Amino acid sequence: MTDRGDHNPDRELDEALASLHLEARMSNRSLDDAREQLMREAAAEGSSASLPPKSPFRRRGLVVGVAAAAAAVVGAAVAFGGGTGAPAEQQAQQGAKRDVSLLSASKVLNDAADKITAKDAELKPGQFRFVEFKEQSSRSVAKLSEAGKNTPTTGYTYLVDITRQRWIPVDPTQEWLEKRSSGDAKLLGSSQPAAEVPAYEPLPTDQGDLRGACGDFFPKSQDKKVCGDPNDTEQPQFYAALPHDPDALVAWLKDFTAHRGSAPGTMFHFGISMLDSGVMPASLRGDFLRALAKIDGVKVVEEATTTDGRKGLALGLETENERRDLIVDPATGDVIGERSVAGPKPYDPWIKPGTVTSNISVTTKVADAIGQVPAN
Amino acid sequence: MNRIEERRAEQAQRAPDVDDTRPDLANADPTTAFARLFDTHARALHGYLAGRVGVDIADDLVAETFLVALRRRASYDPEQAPIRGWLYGIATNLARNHIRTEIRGFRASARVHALRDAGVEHDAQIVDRLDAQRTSRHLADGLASLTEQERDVLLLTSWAGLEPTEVAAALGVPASTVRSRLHRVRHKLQAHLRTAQEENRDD
Repeated sequence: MTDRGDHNPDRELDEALASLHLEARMSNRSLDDAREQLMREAAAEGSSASLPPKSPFRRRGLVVGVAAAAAAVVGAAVAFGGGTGAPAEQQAQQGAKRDVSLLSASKVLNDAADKITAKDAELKPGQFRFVEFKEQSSRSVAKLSEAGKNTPTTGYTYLVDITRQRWIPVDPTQEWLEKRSSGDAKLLGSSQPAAEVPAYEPLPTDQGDLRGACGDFFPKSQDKKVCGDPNDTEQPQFYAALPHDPDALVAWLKDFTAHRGSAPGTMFHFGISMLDSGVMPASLRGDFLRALAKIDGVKVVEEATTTDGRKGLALGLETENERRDLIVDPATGDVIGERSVAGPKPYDPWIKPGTVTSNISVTTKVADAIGQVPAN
Repeated sequence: MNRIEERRAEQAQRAPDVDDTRPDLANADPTTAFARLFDTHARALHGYLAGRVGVDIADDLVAETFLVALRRRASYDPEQAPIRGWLYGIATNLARNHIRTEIRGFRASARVHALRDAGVEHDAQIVDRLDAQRTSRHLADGLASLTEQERDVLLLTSWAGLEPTEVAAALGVPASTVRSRLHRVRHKLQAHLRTAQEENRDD
């Protein structure tokens, strides 16, 4: 319990309680049957001839007649199921979250690492590793106040749905394919009234098919991609060179992020990107999670749902600009997504603190042919 | 103005001071009110119950809790306490039929952690995890040895996240009793955990 600092019986008891029977308490078993049964009985109660007796303690309330109650049932049920119910539904979902703030991030990550049993599927000749990224990404248009200053003063930001499907060949020096498509765009914030913000225009690079050996989708780019580059996090060779001991991984991550100051937030940010690259081998994932568990300041934030609907625990590290979250399924140890949440001083001043500015889920499968989306 | 319109007007007038924490179940349409109640509380309630009696029994108890709540909705007075205490009170009562399962579960957890503790892993990097496992073992043991009332107060507070006043409403005891009971039970469990730490130091 090295991350817990000095002896504090109250905190230790709270953490131990928060961890005990966690899998059962986090179970996401469907409650649909229970809900349906309740709705059937509620509908029957609403239309029955008798209302429950009033409590002698009640001091207010108006009991309506049978016909009125039945009529209200029909009207209200329609309203509840309709699109207008969205905010209430959202609120209800928020209310249903369990408090996980007392869990120790170190314990969650180490437990998750213990549970990783998945092995990477062996690719046969001619097959492809299929990686699908379902993202909500921020697209900002910003105007800097003065030349040389990095903080914009005016602008706007959209959150855009983007799907990227990537096919990586057995031999990564062969051609890769990435299909990109963008969907809905939601205005996250702006320095001017929303009505004056220009409509979102999809970026050309967010759509279409990209092809290239070694994942070199932009061959004209200045920073030339090199096949088998051990410094390129998108290529499998990068991960083959990494140590497996968590302490050695932390030291390596510190060194790798030295050009950015090696702050805990920076190390965590890069670590998340690597875990969620879709090409980190399963044999390294457990040790990598144990390494992230050793970074100062990582906390269990809350229960979170990924963009493809999977539920897990968000573990985050907050800086004043942004909190980066890694989303882990505590039952399987799988890394199921990542996201960014604006901190107290967001990078773009028109974004409210606490706003989710990116949300990504990653799925990997094996495809028999390039361009073919594997079945579940 | 007919009676439905009257009722709607009255509800609209009252809307600002009526929130989801204190729904007027007796006067609301049951379908709407209970759909909302279920969507707001079922998942968290399931978590609380699953921690105590396992996920399978929790599935049944969640369904049962809301059905009992529906039938007894007139007994809930929003002016007396928020809905959570009342709802978790029903659930906790229903879970009492499964006390043996609950205690068996805690004893099993204590055994599992003890077995892992005696395992063959000796790598220095897992020392922290061994500590955590020992803590879990002692905590599970401690929970199994508590009285039913003590466990109710502790787990309604810790796992369900209820405030003392809500726990009081759930268990039908004064809030002052909840606070003193909680204080006592936490001390008892901390003694169990101290034992775990002394063992860790001896290794």
